[in-house]
Amino acid sequence: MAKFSLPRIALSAGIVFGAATIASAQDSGALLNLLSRKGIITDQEAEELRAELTSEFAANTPAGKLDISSGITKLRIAGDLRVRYQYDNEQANPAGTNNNQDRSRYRYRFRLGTTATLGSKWTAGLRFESNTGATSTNNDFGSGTDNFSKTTDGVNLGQVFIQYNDTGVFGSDALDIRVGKFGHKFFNPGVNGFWIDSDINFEGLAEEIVYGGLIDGWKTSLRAGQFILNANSTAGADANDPSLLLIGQVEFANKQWKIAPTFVGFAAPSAHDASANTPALQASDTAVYTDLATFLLPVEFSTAFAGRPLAVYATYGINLEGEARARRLAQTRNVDDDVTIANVGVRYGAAKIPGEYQLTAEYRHVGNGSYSSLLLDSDFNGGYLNGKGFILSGTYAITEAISATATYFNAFNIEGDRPAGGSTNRGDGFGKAQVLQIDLSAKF
Amino acid sequence: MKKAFLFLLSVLAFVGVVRAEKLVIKGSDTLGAKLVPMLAEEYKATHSDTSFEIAAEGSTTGISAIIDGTANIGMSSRRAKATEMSAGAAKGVTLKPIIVCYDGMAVVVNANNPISSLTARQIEQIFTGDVTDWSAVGGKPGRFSIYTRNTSSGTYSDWKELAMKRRDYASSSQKMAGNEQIVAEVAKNPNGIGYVGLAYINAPGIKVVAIGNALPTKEAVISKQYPFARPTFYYTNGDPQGEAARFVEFTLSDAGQKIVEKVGFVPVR
Repeated sequence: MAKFSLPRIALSAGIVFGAATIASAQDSGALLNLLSRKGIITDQEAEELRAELTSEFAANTPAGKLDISSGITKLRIAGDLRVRYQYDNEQANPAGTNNNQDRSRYRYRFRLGTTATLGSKWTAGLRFESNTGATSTNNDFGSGTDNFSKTTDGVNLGQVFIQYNDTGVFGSDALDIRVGKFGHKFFNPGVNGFWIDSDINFEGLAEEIVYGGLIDGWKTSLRAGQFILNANSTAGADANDPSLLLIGQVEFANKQWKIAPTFVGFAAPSAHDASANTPALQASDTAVYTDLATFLLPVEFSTAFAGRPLAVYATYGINLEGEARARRLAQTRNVDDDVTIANVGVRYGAAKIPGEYQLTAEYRHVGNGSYSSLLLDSDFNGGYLNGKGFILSGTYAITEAISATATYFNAFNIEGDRPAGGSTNRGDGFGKAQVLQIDLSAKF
Repeated sequence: MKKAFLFLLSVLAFVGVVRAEKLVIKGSDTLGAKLVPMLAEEYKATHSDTSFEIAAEGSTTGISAIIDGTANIGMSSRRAKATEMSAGAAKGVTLKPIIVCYDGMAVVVNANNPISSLTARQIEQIFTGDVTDWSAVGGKPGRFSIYTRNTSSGTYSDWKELAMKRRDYASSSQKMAGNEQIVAEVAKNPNGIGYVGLAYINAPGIKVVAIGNALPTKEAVISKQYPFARPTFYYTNGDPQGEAARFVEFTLSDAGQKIVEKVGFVPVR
């Protein structure tokens, strides 16, 4: 039935020899339409050729062999891999108890995720990570019982979420709702994140609504999160009330400033979490879901210096329930409570294109009743309370995808003589904690 | 002699049974609701031994039927997708398109609607839900009632491709099983809007809206000046064979194309 006219053969040859790629098969539709409109080939010839090219594409190209669900309008695969040398020197508080550390570690982190865009408003995503830790997905090389052991290597599901984006809702410019387990969007300036460790994947529900013109010259973003800490799904009275972490933030941003009043609180309605204040039930601060009502004010000012970006940032916060929290963690009423959490830092440069670098210096203060170890950056003072000190960090971009980073953390106890509160730290910081990290990272 | 006669009779009866061929045609509602049944009736007038089984449940079902080998001819108002091509190839099936006629997907509104033309951009906005009220496009205030085909329809995907820049349909849109249902709903609803093939635009209670200045006339469709014009197809496994080939030939013949025109579509020549 098909007749191979000269123009048709010429067109085939042109497409095959001229491009011979996936793109030629996919993009030839416009050319076929033009040729048929001009009468060079008939519509029937164009359709037969289109079918052949589509068939060739489907059968003989790597992309054509992928069968992606028709509901997916875009599929993104991205991840990162990092190898790290880490030196830890941690001296316990009080001296002589457990938790002394003086060690070198050789570590890696791998994360690989995919997000599927499903039409114009919905997205589904998941991410695999190389460790189960809430605030660290690192694994140590050489940590097994035998040489080259694989016992500690694993692939874990770090994120799994469904996201809804829209515009015009309540007159907004953008709406973002996520449910599942996912990364956060709260403004949180600091090396590795300050009051939310950058490795944390929250579980629950998060919303963001953005207005461009609410205040002239400022973008206003309202963010909220309702995150499940403990489902309390075991049997018993009050057992089914979950313990929640609630975060609310309003960010005002213009070209130079970001100011974001924030509230972070625990809501632990169950008898289990609210009354669990003995060491036997609550081994560490990360499981004490009470006495947290911290107001934070993160601020950042951005400018340029000597042709490079310069940012000065700071956060100041107080826990309205700080006294109760300090006493609960110390297991005694005889404790000086420090309800203040703060940082101040300066960041210079950017490490995005090859040859660029970024330098950061930051000071932190985390009082014994100010916050929760559950959320704090785990690299500074072990992620515990009652610590102050500084961080120095430098990153150099080797290529757009490869970078090298060195970071030094040096933390000290704010109250050196605090009781340890049982066999574990219960949120009480180390006496001294130094950490040196040297990283080589790849992003893809 | 008697035995020989009976043997001959049984052979003739057997040949008769074999000779009576059945053509299974599945797919597009656009083609299968009116055009193909009329072609089949006319064809049977000269091929009395041929019977037809026609199922018009959407283009996707027609292409799937060819891939699965459950139909001789698949009707489709859209082109086969790359995934369908590769699914066919995996089963040794080569999907061959044959243009049957041309269609212009016409935008229809209630006959009492004062709107007589819309721009392509307005059409996109209406069907994606960017605008929700007739007043946004110059009409009488009232929320749009959008009627679309269902997801197995080739017209559903062609409309997304040609009129909506591949965006999603408005969440308020209502999916109808066929062109006739869309026409019926729009005729009843003063705020209704939908799209149908050319064979369905003369129903009472509706009217066709021009896209810019272009109405889906025969000339505008064949010259591709009408923005929502498209070819419609039979799909077969390779070149059609036997009775299917004869029916395809009849469809493309002068007699077949006269029926195409009579139904309201645009003939291939």
